[in-house]
This record gives sequence, C-alpha cells and structure tokens, in this order.
Amino acid sequence: MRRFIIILLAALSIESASAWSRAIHSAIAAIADDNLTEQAKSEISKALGGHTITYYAQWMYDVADSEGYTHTKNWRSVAFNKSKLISGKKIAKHSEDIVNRAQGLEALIAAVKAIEGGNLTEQQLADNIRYIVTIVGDLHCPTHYIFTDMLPQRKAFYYYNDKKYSYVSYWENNAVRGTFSWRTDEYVHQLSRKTPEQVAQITKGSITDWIVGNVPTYRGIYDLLESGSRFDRKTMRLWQNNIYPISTEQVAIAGYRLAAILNGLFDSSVENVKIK
Amino acid sequence: MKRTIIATLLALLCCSSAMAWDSRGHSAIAYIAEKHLTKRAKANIESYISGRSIVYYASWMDFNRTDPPFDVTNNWHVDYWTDAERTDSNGNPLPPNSVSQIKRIISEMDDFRSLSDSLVNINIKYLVHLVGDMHCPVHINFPTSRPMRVKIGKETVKVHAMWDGKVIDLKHNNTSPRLLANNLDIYTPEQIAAAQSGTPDDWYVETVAASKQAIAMIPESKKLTYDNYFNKAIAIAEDRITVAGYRLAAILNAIFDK
Repeated sequence: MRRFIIILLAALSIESASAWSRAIHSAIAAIADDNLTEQAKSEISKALGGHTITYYAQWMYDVADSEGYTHTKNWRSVAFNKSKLISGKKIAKHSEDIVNRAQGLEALIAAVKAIEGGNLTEQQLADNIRYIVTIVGDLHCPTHYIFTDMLPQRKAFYYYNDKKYSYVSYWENNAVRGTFSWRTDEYVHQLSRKTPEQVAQITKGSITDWIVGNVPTYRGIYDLLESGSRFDRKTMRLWQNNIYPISTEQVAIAGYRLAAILNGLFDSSVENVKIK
Repeated sequence: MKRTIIATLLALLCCSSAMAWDSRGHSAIAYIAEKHLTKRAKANIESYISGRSIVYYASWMDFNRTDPPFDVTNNWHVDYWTDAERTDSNGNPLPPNSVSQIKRIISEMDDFRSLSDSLVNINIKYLVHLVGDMHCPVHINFPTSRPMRVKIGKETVKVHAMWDGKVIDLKHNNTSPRLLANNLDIYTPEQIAAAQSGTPDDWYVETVAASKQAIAMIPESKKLTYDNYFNKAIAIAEDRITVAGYRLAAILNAIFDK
C-alpha cells in the first residue's frame, strides 16, 4: 500500500513539473502530426525510428535528468520585460532564477537551425526534432512566458472547496482538462479542424513573431483570477468557462505551428518558417 | 476483493458531476449523432458553431446553467412527471423541461436561415445537450424518486446522482467518449430507423418507462451491487445513450439538411 502511495505521489509530482500536462503535449503533437505533409511525415518517421512525433511529445521532459540532457531544463520558457522579448542567455543575472532559465526560444531556434544546416548524426537529428516538438508546446503555454514585471502574479492562488491551489499549476494541468478530459485522438478530432485560411493566419510570420504575438493573450490570463479567490463547484465551473476557450485555442495553435515548422524542415516543397 | 469493489464504486460516486449524463455520456451521444449527420447537415451546423464539432458543445449547457445570462435554462434539464398532468400539486404548470424546450427549438429552427446566427448557434448547443438529458432515466423526476437514496457499501447516495454519470462510468471509466460512441453505435440501419421514428413526445414516454424500470429495479433493501442492480442498469444506460445519439442526428438532419 505504501509503495502504491509513493508511486502515485511520484506520478503526480512528475505531472505537475511539466509545462502542459503529458496529455496536452500529446494533443499538440497529434494535431501537428495530423497536419504534416506526407513527405514531412515520412522523413520524420525515418528519423525517429518509425515513431510519430506524438510518441515523443514530452520526450524532452522524460530525459531532463539524464546525462547529457540536464541543460534542457532551461528550455521550457521564454522571458519578457513587459512585452519586450529578452533572451534568456543575454539578460543580466536576474534576481529570479526563473527568468535566467527562460531559454526556450533560443533552444527552439538552435534546433531549427541545426536541422536546416544538415550534417547531423542520426542521434542529433532525432534529438533536435524531439526538442522542437516539446518546446513548441511549452511556448504556447501561457504560464511559460515569464514577464519580469508580473512575477508576483505568478504566485496567485485560489481555494477550491477550502483547499489552496496555485494558479500557474492550474494552467499547466487543468486549464484544458478541467473542462475536457479528452483522449489524444479526441483532441485531434475537436481541435484539428481549422480552415486553410485560419491555418494561414495562425502560421503567418516568423517563429519570433508567433512568440511575441502570444504576449497580449498570455499576460491577460493573470486578469482572470483575483488571487485568494474561493470557489465551490458552481463558481469554479463558471470561472473555468473563461479559461477553456483560451486554453483549447492555444493547444490548436501550437499544433498548427509545430506542423508548419516541421513541414518546412522536412518537405522540400514547403517554405521554411523564418526565425525572425 | 469485495471491499476493493465497493471502494471503487464509492470513489466513482464521490466524483459525481450530478449533471445529467456526465460529460462522457453527453460527448458519446454527440459523437454518435455526428457520425449519423448527413454531409449537408454537418456542414450547415458547423458553419454556425465556428467550425467546431457538436461534441465540443455537448456539455455547454451544464457549464453555463448557473451563469446569470443562462440561469433560466437551469430547469430545462429535467422533466417532471405525475401520472396525470405536468403540474404541481396546486395545478400550476411545472417549469420548462427538456421535452417542451426541444419541441420549441425544433419549431423555431424550421426556417433556421431566417434566424440570427447567434440564435441558431445557441439552439444547436441546447439541442445537443437536451436530447441527451431527455434520455437520462433519472431526468424524469417522479415525486417518489426525487428524494430517493440507495446504499452502496456503507455509503448512502442519491439515485439521481448515481444515474447521472456513474452508472455508465462503472463500466466505461477508462473508455474515451469517442471510443464509447464507437462501441455503442452498432445498430443495424433498420434498428436505427426504428429508434429515430416517432416524436419527442413518444421518446419522452419511452424514457418515462426506462425511468420507472430504473427505480423498480432497486431492491427493497436499497443496497445495490453489480449483481442485483448495476449490470442491468449499465445496459439500460448504454441503450439510452445510443438511441439519444441516433435521435439527435435525426433532429439535426431534419433541421439542417436543406
């Protein structure tokens, strides 16, 4: 029994340490997979030993404690001074470590450039694809945007049935799944249904444009909770009605953008997404 | 073993959403309906709901039932029944219920193109949910069944809460709504046509019978087990979800395939 509880707690702690939950990372990768061209899908499958990108949706988290990959723990977020993008590597040592570790965009760009450059070993190619898959998901999770002027807001909390919960954790684990407990195939069915015009709008611009373009929405999530709010089942439901339209849309957008990057890299007939 | 089963049952019941079919049941109904929409009806419907699937809105009414703009709908989810009239003991009409709302919306949507987009949008959300609700046995509230409680192990639970979602979850807790829909959508074309025949009033009478059966099956001791109750109850719930899906498709096709 004790072993069961330990395993359960371990599983829960792993889940809460992730950006989006594993289910959402899988959903994003599956939506992307659904929008890959045949050539891109085939090339990626070869590079991943026959697996799909969904299989490796959260691989970067799975290996984060393994030798040679611990540095990837700094690749999960991106930092902003108000709405101005600041590079995790270039910023002066910030008093908050969370800001210094926000090197997700640099890592994403490096992975894209590495694949564009070619001359990678099989291992390097597979790793860079898997980095892209996880990081694009992370960089569409609002709480993975570290706004230096809003650090106190990251400590916002609420009570549900008198138990205290972190708002950041809510976003990472329940912003979608608090409303929809879909399985991966259902995320695809529900969210991979944009028109070509909508997809063109979502994937318009460069990777950097996408990340900067997310800022107004992602800063806005901190207006949706007054820290210390108390919810019961009824009020929690009404509050979540403000969240899930935003969170599900981010999952869809991340999937389409991930597909755009990978199609550009692995289908010679598709133009590469620009970095800046 | 017995203790484990009872604990599992209680754990499931503790998580009860107390909202008609839970989201798994409502989503499964919408998935079944979606599979049986005509191409034209599906396209017309999705043009009013931002290209989304009807499944996305399967529980929308539950999400918003206590939101002030929609609190008027809070009484639409259940039907009240006396063996004589749908009136209270003073003869006053009971609040709006799922059947009357479904009939009203079908009538209103007859010429859906003449309505505003927002009205069509919300009527789709209402239909997708209410057709599910009107097939949920405990959503016929009999004067005697409403306060009824049963025992599962040492715990006492409301019959309504138990039927809302957990009867189906006892068997399908690890099944996604989409897979559940696929597993239930096994009627032959003839059986589907038979299920879709009749009117909402006919379907209501059928649900009344199912509701009476759900209550009559409860043993005198009120202590429920798989053997004396849940095996039969699960079969009834599966059937109600399946026919609700087919009938939702029939209603939506009749409105939107033109």
